[in-house]
Amino acid sequence: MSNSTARAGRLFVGFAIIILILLSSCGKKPVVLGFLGGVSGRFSDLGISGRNGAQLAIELRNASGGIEGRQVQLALADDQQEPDAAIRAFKKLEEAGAVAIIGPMTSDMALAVKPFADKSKLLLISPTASSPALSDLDDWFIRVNPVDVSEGRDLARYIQAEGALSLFIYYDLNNKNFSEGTEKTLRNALEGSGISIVSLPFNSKESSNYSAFIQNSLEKQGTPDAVVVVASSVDAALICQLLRKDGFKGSLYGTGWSMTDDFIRLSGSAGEGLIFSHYFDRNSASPRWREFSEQYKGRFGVEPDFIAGLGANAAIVAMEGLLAQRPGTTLKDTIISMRNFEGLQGSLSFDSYGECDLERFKFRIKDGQLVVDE
Amino acid sequence: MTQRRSLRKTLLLTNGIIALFLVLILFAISLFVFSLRSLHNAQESYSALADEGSYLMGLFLDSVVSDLEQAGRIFRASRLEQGIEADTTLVIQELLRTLVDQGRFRTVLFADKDSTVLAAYPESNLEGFSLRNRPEASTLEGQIYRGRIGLNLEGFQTLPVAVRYKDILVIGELRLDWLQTLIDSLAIGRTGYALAADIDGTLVAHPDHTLVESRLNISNLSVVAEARAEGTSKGIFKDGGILRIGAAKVIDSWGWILLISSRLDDTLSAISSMALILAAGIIFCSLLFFISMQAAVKRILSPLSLLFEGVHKMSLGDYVALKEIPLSFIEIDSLASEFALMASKVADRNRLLQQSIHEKELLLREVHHRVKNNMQIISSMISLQRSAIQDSAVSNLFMEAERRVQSMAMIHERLYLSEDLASIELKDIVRELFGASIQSTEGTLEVVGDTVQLGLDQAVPCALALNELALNAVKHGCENNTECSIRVSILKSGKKTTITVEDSGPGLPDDFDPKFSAGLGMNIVQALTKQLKGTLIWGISSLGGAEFVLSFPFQEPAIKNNA
Repeated sequence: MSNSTARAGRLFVGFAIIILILLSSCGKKPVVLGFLGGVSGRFSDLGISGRNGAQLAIELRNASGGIEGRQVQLALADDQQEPDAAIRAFKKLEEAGAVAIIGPMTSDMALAVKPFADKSKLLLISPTASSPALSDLDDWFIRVNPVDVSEGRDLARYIQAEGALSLFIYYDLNNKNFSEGTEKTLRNALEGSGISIVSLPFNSKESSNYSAFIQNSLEKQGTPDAVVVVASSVDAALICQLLRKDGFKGSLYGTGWSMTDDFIRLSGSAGEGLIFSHYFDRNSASPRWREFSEQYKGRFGVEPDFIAGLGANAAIVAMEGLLAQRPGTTLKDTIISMRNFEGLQGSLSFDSYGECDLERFKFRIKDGQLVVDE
Repeated sequence: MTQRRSLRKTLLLTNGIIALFLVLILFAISLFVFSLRSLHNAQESYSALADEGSYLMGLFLDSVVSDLEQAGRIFRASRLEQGIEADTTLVIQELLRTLVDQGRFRTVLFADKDSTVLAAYPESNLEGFSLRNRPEASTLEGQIYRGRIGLNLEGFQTLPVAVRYKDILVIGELRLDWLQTLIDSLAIGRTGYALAADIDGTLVAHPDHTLVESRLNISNLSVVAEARAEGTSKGIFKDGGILRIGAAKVIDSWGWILLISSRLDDTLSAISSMALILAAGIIFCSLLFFISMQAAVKRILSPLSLLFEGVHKMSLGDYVALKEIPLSFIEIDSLASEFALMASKVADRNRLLQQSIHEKELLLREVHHRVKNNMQIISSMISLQRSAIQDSAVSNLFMEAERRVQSMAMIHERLYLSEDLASIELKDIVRELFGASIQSTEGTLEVVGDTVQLGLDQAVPCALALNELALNAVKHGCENNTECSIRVSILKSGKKTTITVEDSGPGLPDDFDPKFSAGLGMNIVQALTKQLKGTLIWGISSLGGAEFVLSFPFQEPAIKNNA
């Protein structure tokens, strides 16, 4: 009888333990990666493509087991291309327990949130922010793209090579750090070249009716041989359309900020022949990129653009770093010490400040396609 | 004072709890079946709603396409009639206002065969813009282009739809908030909603407009993936870590997907509440059952254990322990009470038996006493007779007879002085008989060996035989040696008692044989040995004299008094 009681007692305790185990263990907690970018409004093409690329890279990692058995979860926060909103978005991701943040997508937003990232020691891995103001700092910001100084220099070289004598630079102050930096680089690079340069800043936030602005610039300054547009895809497309509508027949140059499918679609024949300097070739024959492109098309129905590729690269760096991270070390130190990562189109190599230098190519829009200009 | 309970009632209560537990288990199974049924019903409801919703949404979307085609016809007709500069006639303006101001389109664009904008409403400054790289530019007459969400030139996310009427391309950029109004009426429950995704799985309508703005793609949802492959689907799926139940249906001709779903926990909220109550009930019943079983076991086992101990002690003669059993169930209390009564009666009867035994002991003691007294009288009478006899040989015969009577008297005296009235220690007999015999000499007596209790049946013949051997040892062993030694050894081996009598005298003649002995003593010894069913061996002692070894089977004393 006493044995039965003891057995009943053991069964009861066992039952209670099983219930407790069932209640307490509901699988491993996922690793949260944040994504901070503008996914709404007129600048959203950058953020949407970057998010999709990061999302797919994470889904592919999760399908192959995640990070040491833990699934990776992408937490999204929209910076609306507004510094205050970007700071709120950063704090939202921090509260969500993000171990690193993919983003921001633009230099202005990166500069807005960087002090908070430095304070929280929460690593920002930007796919596209390229301002030199973010360079060579021992901070909590790294990027998988090169600094834009080289972009400005390349564009200057192309302009000189085509024999232009006059140049208009339309640049949007809404991403001031990037656009002013590019304008300055162009000016410096073309100094002494004999090319007359007219800088035409505008703010897309204040007004997007550029008709009068373009007309006035052409009327007052005369029609230039070449125009560089430093703006988002929508604004760059509008400016190109207006320039062509107003009779501009010279060469057009753009920056990575507008090198998206939305620009090609919206600029129409006005964008034909526009030249970019970039380091990411969407027609690359890299097997890894081709495979990723196929998967991206299957997942989102469209071909990935360079931003999607960079978003994926940033996510790959973050996940590889998390996989290699050991207790007592930071993710930033782990990534910097690892130095080399296999990106979608080849190796990414970080310096001690988390800067990544990549070879640039000359791209041209030809028949509605972005192709490497031989 | 603890209230007594009935074991029957307790068992009934315990069984009742078990029955309740079983009922709860059955209820849980029913609940599970009911849950499955509810989920099935919810899926069917959502499926029917998705069917109807997708049909209606298709009608609405087709109607906007018809409007665009109509606009294209009127636009072309007005251009043909009024010339290239007359594209802003009142008719066109009214038509465009209808399409745009009703909130369906953000912008309507008319383009020529080169995809250059001829007219746009409300953004007239788009005229002259090139639409060449837009996928909708390649729309052929009779085709309907249904595009993907993307930014338009005003920086808004729109969904372009295009038709061509002859050489006029009409592009309408659908407003996402208008698409949302199409599915708003399909919302279900607290957490239920309807959403629509395009052919690639990119959201085109969702209650959370920011998700549409950000072109979120939901093709990874199992229910959407299945609908894209099969045309329709239903089931439970995970969205952002939350389980939802719903049904999806492809909108014919558009390839879009309408998904109607709600949170699973919301769908099962009533059942969840019941399950929670059920779980609480099962836990409560389990605890109640466990506690009642513990109490019942304690109330049964402890008294039963004490009852067992009490009965065991009773078997050892302690009749008090049973009275100390604590109160338990009525049935066990009755059992303990009956046992206590039985113990009391057995104790009373035992007391009477003890009394009877005591009385019989007194009687037996008195009998032995009187026998001993009578024998002493006989001995005294023989002694008196002996004192009148002059002939020493005759006198010796009388003296021997007197000694033999005294030996028997001694046995009876020892018996009534013994505790049990049934047995005498053999060593005591030996010491008494040999001590009395050797007393007249200066010889020494050594009695060694085991302790043997002899019963009356063996004590009398044994004592008489030893008396003869003692007389013989003293007579012959100490006749000419006053410092003689006599040693009596007693050995009990198994069921056999062996008494060895040795002396330090001159020893037996070589031809000695008790059978041929003329003396009465040896004859008596032989007769008594036979009576004891024993044997008598003689020989030379290690003391140098004679040695007699009397062996006989040991018998337990006939009466054993445990008192």
